[in-house]
Amino acid sequence: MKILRNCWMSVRYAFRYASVNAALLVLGYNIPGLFSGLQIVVIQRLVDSGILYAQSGDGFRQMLIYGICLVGMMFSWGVLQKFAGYERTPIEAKLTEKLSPVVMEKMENLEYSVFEDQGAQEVLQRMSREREPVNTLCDVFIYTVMTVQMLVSIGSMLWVYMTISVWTGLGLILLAVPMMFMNYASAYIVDQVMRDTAGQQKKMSDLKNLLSNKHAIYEMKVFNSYELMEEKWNRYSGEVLQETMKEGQKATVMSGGSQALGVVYSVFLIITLAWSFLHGTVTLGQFTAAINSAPSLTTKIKNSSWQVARMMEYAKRLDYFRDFLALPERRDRRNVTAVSHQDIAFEGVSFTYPGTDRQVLKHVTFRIKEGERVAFVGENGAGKSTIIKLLCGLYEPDGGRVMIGGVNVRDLSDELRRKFLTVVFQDFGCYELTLRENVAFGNLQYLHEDEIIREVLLVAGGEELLKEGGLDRNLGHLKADGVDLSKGQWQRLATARAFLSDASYVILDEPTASLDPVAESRMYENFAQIFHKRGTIMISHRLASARMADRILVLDGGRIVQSGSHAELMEQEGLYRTMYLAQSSWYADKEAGDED
Amino acid sequence: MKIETDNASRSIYNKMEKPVRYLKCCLRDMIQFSRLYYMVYLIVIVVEMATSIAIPLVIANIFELVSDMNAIQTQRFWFQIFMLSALIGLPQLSSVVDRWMLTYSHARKEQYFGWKMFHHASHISLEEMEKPGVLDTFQKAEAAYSDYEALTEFPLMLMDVLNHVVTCIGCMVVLAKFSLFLLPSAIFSFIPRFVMTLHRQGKERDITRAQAPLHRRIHYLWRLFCNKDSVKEMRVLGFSSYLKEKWAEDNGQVVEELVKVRRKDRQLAVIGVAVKNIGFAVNILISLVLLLHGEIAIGVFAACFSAVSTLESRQLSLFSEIPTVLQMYYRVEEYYDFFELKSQPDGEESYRPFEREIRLQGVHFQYPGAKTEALKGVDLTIRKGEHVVIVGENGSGKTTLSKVISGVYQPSSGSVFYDEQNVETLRRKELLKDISIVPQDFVHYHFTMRENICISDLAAISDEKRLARVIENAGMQELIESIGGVDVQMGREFGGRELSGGEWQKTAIARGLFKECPLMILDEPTSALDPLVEYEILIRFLELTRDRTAVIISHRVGICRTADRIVVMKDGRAVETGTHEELLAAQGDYAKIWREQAKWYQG
Repeated sequence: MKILRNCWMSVRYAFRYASVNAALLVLGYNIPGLFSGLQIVVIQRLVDSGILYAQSGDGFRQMLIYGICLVGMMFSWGVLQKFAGYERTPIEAKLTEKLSPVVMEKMENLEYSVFEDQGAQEVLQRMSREREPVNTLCDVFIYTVMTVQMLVSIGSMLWVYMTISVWTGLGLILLAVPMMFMNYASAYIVDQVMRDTAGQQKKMSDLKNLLSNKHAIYEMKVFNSYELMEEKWNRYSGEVLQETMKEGQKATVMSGGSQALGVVYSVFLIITLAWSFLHGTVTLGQFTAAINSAPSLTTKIKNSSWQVARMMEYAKRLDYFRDFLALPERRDRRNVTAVSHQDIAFEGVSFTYPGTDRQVLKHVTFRIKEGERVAFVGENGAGKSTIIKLLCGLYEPDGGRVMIGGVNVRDLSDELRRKFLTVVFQDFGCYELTLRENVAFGNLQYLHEDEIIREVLLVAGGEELLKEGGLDRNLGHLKADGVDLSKGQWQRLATARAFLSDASYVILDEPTASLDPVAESRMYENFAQIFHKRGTIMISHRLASARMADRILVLDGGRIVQSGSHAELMEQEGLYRTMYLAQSSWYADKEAGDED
Repeated sequence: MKIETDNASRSIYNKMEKPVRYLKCCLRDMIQFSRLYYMVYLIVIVVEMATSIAIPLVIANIFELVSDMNAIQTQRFWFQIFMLSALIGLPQLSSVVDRWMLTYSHARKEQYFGWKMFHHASHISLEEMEKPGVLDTFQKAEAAYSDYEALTEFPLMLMDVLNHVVTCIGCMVVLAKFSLFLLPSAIFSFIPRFVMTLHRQGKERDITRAQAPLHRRIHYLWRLFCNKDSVKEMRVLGFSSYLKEKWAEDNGQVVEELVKVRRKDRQLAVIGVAVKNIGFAVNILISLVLLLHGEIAIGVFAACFSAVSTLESRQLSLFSEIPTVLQMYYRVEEYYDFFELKSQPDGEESYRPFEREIRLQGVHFQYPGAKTEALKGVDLTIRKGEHVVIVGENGSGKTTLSKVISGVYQPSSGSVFYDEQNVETLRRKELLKDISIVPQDFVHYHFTMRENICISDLAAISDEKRLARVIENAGMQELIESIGGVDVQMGREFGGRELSGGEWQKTAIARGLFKECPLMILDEPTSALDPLVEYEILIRFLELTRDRTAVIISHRVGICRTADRIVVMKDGRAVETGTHEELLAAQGDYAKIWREQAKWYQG
């Protein structure tokens, strides 16, 4: 039932976005479908009139008309089908052009927590494949049309047979039901096996990812761990083979049974015709036409089972698109366009990532005043990055409120929020576009201001990026002339983005993780210079950077355990002092406790 | 002149050399994949060919009998009828074989063709993996056998084509037997179609190639919208509409070109079909005329009709299959292209554990396709038992150096010696038994925790004592307790646990430590750890490896003070070597790096 709904969905989309082309395709395929039956009638008349002419010399005109009819039909058959077949390209083009932006819009507007959901992730994974979902929609549409064509043409032939001999028609109807059932059963078994082995398939594709990963190959060589991968691979692929063959035999028996019925029918058909002919209930013309078309009918019956199975298989693939359409969209209201002040406030905020049971933030409360420079420090997993995500309004907290200027961040309009905040995330994007675009994503109004882009790149330590070529050169591997950057260079690009923005707060999450010591040091100096008038929120493992902040907030286990300036915190016994001493001991003077 | 023709013939030879080689590979694989099936399929095809050619003959016989019916001939009539029904019925059973093969090849492709890729991948040299196109090659080869099933389908398609060709010829022979007048239009009517199909196929391939970079970009932009991290950044920074515009621009261009080509295709295809159909009609008319002139009997006329129909439908199948066959062949090519990636050269001599030192002599290294050398002549000696720290800026060649030391990279000139043994001549597997690593980009295996750690020395996977010790040394006891033991599956998508970056880093350290061997190479082993843990783990690490040789690459110059020797890399050269005190006193690059980092912690 779901399969039929998916077919119907593909038809609806095709007609909505490319109605003319879709109609042409449907007609081009289905008119020839009717020809199959008509052809038998015409041949029969042709032969009968030919015999009449041979015997009495009458009916030449009739013979000519039917001959022309036949030729015309055959002529237009192929032409129409070819003509219609090429409609696929414009349908696909129009669907891509009109449907894909709608889909992108929807993806961009998904409720952010959806990305954490296992099921939704699989759907998105599917969506991210090349030319999905348009390609699948087109496939399903065409298979639906072709299946209808097949049914129309079998139906039309059947109708003609019924007029020649009722038995042939009845025989087909009687056999068609069990044949369809067996085909369906066989398709169902195959589908079931696919689902049963999905776990192994997933593990195998994970192993494949390892194989295409140069880092994994490096480890494999040094550790000689190839054996383990091989063993796993053989285990999973063996299981898939075993399982599939076991069930596959059942499927083969089923479809074999269906084929056997088909053979029974063709034997029955020909013998019935011969018998009727011998007993004079069928004319020579009818006999000729029927015998000649019998191979084509049985081929069609044979193919129809394959066709239907294929259509079902394709239609099933649309399930994920249906799931995608059902994903929830953003729930934040985004209707406030102006606020009176710009203080940031967390009021008793608690948060758990969807789908997990560990509370990452536990009743966190703090305030950041306009223009203040704040650093968050804490161990791995203390909840630092989560605070940033909540501040951007990406998630709804379990409890408490996240406010900017006294308004819940999830009520702020996107434009207003962007005026307040710009962020360099820890997992910043490395966009395989031009250098210019990569920087300008921080603030697109400067896209064509070369001076400004060069300036921020310089400040972010990217002088070598500028030296190597113009702003419009391609980065990454997408284009043949593209160059890949090192992780450190990408980080500078991401930081340059923040420099370009006019936002009141700049948020930096581990901004120097990939930089070497000299570059890191220089970056900190630049931060101090550029952001001295703006609010900054910095997250770093390198506690040295925290010293620049007006205030340091120490997070531990999802709570704020300490707050104050570097000097204040160093006076207290606490986590910050311990951490700082641990790190600075590397650099402390010789006598400060060295091992050697 | 002679040279020119020589060149021309050579270029043709070169052009054909690859397809011929690949086809050979494909046939060999086909036989190994399943000899039985392909034999059965061949038999089925022969039966199909025979029946399609025999049907017109039987029909001719039937009508011969029908036109002059008498009592004696009824028996012969029924015999012919029975023949006909058998001929029509038999080929239908072939789809059972089809079905079975479909299931079988679907199920076994991973075990056979996937395994072949797997086997080759593990032997590819690491330098080769650095080439920009490698991932693409891998993905294409993978898609070729698994998504497109080209390797299992292509041989079948070839047989199908053979089937159609032979049947067409058979039908023509039958027609010629009836009357030679029928032959010309049977032969010539499909030639325009044939030429057009081949011609358009070439055009289609050209445009696909030309558009490939654009396609890649369109798909890249599309993927950004499916990705959690890029959607986050788009939303926060607000550049999604820009990306959408770019997408629409590129897509518009691709579609416009494609539609133009396809429209032309359609015009030509319709003409081709029209010509073919006219030939078909002409043949029927000819046989009708022959019938009316009494040249052929009514039975032969019916047979002609049947033969012409078969010919027509076979030609149709043949032409619709040619483009698919060619496309499948390109996929087959993509699969075997992967096996052209070079495997790592290996030495022949067996390796003796080194006693004194590892010595690098004038080592140069250049990544394939790179303009400049990554290492520009490095001389370095690491004595057994020493802890050497390599520091330097991003891109100064530290990681490359470490890979040259362990012998996974082959220097482009210069040599690496373990005592007096040149690495180039050694069996790499034996040498690597003595080396363990904690790489910068360590791998998150979605296996169990035990496998994640013990993968470095699989022979000891059940050594509980060693495992427990390593877990303690890497500071992972708490973590192991919280996830519920070492045999817990990792990775949420595999129904297991997810770890944070720092937790994975500890796992990688444990992995490196688990392999007990005399040389350890650590590349940025603590970059994802927070300061407290970093300090603890590094100190413990240095203690544990006190009796081993260790090469440590680090951005954190702090660790240098505990090192026996420091090597400063700059622009592919080792510019300074010495202890912390010596280098500080030398007031060179090291002193500068040290001061830059230390100043944040002093005062």
